[in-house]
Amino acid sequence: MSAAEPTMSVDVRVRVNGIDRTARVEPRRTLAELLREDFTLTGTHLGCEQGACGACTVTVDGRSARSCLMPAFRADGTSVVTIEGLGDGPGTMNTLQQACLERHSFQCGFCTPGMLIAASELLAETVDPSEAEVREALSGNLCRCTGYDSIVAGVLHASALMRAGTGDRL
Amino acid sequence: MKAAPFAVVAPTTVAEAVACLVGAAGSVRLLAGGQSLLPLMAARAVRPDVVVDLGRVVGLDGIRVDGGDLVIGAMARQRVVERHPLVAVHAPLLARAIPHIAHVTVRNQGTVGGSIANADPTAELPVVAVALGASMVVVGPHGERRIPASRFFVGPLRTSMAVDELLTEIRFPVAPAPPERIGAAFAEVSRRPGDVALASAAVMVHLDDSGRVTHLGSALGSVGPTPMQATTAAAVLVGSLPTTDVIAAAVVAASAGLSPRDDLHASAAYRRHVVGVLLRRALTAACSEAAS
Repeated sequence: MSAAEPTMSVDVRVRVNGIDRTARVEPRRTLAELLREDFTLTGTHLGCEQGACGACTVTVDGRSARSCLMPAFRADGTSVVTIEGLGDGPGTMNTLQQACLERHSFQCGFCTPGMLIAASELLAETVDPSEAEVREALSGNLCRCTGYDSIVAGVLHASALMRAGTGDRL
Repeated sequence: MKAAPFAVVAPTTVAEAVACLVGAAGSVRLLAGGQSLLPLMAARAVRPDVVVDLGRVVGLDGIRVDGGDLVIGAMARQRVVERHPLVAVHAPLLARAIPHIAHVTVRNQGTVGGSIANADPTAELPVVAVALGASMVVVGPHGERRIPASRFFVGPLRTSMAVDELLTEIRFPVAPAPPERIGAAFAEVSRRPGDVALASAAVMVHLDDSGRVTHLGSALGSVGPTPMQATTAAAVLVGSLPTTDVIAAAVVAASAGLSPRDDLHASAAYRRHVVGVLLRRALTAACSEAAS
């Protein structure tokens, strides 16, 4: 990107789920749109598009971010992980996903990608979170099926599996 | 909704960033962490012609101690500052206030300088800056100057920075080290955790060996056009033992001068009441910590 002059077109190079990708985008393109429309990674869901709902949460260089509140040009040079990047690839689930399946954590599935990314960030830092810590970690993600208890149960179940050695750590 | 079209420019030095502001044609906004600006742009409440991306400017995210101040680079991420060991030691009030800001995912991207320059009177960091007597280091075409927090915030979303100036650092006076007796507390009420504060109170207190208050820095949020410095509370408390009665008198003094406004979130009467409750709790907690 040129430092000197304002531009209406930006080249973005970003590693997404381990694969290097490039795109030329308008400055107003968000990371969420880059993922969904340029890279057809539609697992990242767009709800409110203004940072309120958390559905579009991904990680950028290991830290969670609302991809609707990150311009695509800001992701240039970073490594992004989306819901498609959890587990060992398509058709597989990691311990968190398996635990949430077993606890019937999700209903319609719209909030699921953001919830799982936010929970992944927590479990990567703390393998033994309290229920309060799980609720705090998920507090920025809205579920309109009102399924919070089952989601919290799924994350705590994942934590138990990891500590018991029957699930891989994140 | 999607932001209206805009052009972006990505300077790599502070001087280049200032040049972008000086030479800009049309409306310009600085992009720090984007967690306040981008929702406004998505709603098209803000439609800049040019966005200056500060993400490539080198050296704006440092955290260090210098000359009696804890110096936080304007682009330091809130989540990093929240958990930084220098912040825990030298500005405990800052470390305790940041967890009240939105959610982890927002704090991962949101910056200390972005929140302070945004000057939202409901935001936590401007309140802490006023309570601690921080000073803002700003750079413009004519060089650098420091603006004390008490003169930095001039209205809702308005600061005393000129349009061609850039906030580069926030300097928080370091807290006295043990065995000095200090206590810090931040309290706020919001409809849900992480939502905008309906009222907030930030307190930093120093006690002498006899338990009397020697210094009180405090400020109140969401009850005026800027963070409101609770100087009348300090006038009551300094020199006294912080008993329940003295704290109650300090709260009455601080609340008397406030004229919060009604809005759809809370009535003025509610805000005036609840900010007093928060100030009492914060003073009690901070004095208790300092005495222990």
